[in-house]
Amino acid sequence: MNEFDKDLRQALRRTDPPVGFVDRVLARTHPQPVHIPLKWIGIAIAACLLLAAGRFEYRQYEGRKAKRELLFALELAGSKLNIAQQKIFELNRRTIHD
Amino acid sequence: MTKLSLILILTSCALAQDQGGLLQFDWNKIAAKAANKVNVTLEGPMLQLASQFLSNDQKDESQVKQLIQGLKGVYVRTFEFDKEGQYSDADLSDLRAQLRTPEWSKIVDTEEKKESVIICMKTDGKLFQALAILSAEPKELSFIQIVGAIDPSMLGALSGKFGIPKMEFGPKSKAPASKKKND
Repeated sequence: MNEFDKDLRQALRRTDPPVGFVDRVLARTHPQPVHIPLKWIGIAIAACLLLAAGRFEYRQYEGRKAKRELLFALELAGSKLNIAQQKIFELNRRTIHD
Repeated sequence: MTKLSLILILTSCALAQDQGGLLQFDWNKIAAKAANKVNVTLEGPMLQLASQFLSNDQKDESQVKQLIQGLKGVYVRTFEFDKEGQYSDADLSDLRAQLRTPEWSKIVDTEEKKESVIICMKTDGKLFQALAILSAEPKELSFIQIVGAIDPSMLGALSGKFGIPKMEFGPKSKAPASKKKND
């Protein structure tokens, strides 16, 4: 056996792992729980509430606008029907008098 | 392939023409000259939304709510002009031509001096399917379309409210008046 073989055997000799090595390896193989800071959860909830409130308020605005437009359309239609009716009455009156 | 394209084109043309009584008209030319414009378009979801905001406790509003149940759309176009003569009869000829088609019944057509009101209805024999009102004055032009199933009795119930005159609708009503000064 020459010097080289001796060195190689020495380098590759079987040794025990350091204390706690197995536990450390096993701990790393398990997924670590993600820690989200509590303030971000709060911000996310606040943002969701704000969005929901905004959406509700926008819907209220749209609904009130649609109602206003509908009543305007009916009143305009009503006024035009009124004009037509008055003209018909006037024409009838003139026809009867003539 | 050509046949399929032809069928698709014809189908889309047919669908475009039959929009349940909605009259199509390009208002851009008239709108360009108007000083004030109002454009109201309330269709399906928006009509339903408006309906949700009508009170059940107030009689007038609850009647409107019932009236709009069967409606598909309410369309209003009004234009106000600074001067007279900023639009002509020719500008409206296409619209008037659509109202002259057999599916539309002219129930009122008055023309006096420079003012005219045309009221047309489209019916399926029982219910009104659409109502169109065209009012032309020298400095104001209004066109109102109410499309969808309109129950005449409900329209009658709204008489005297929202500026709608007292009218008689339904089976007991008199024959529709169609008058023209020149007649």
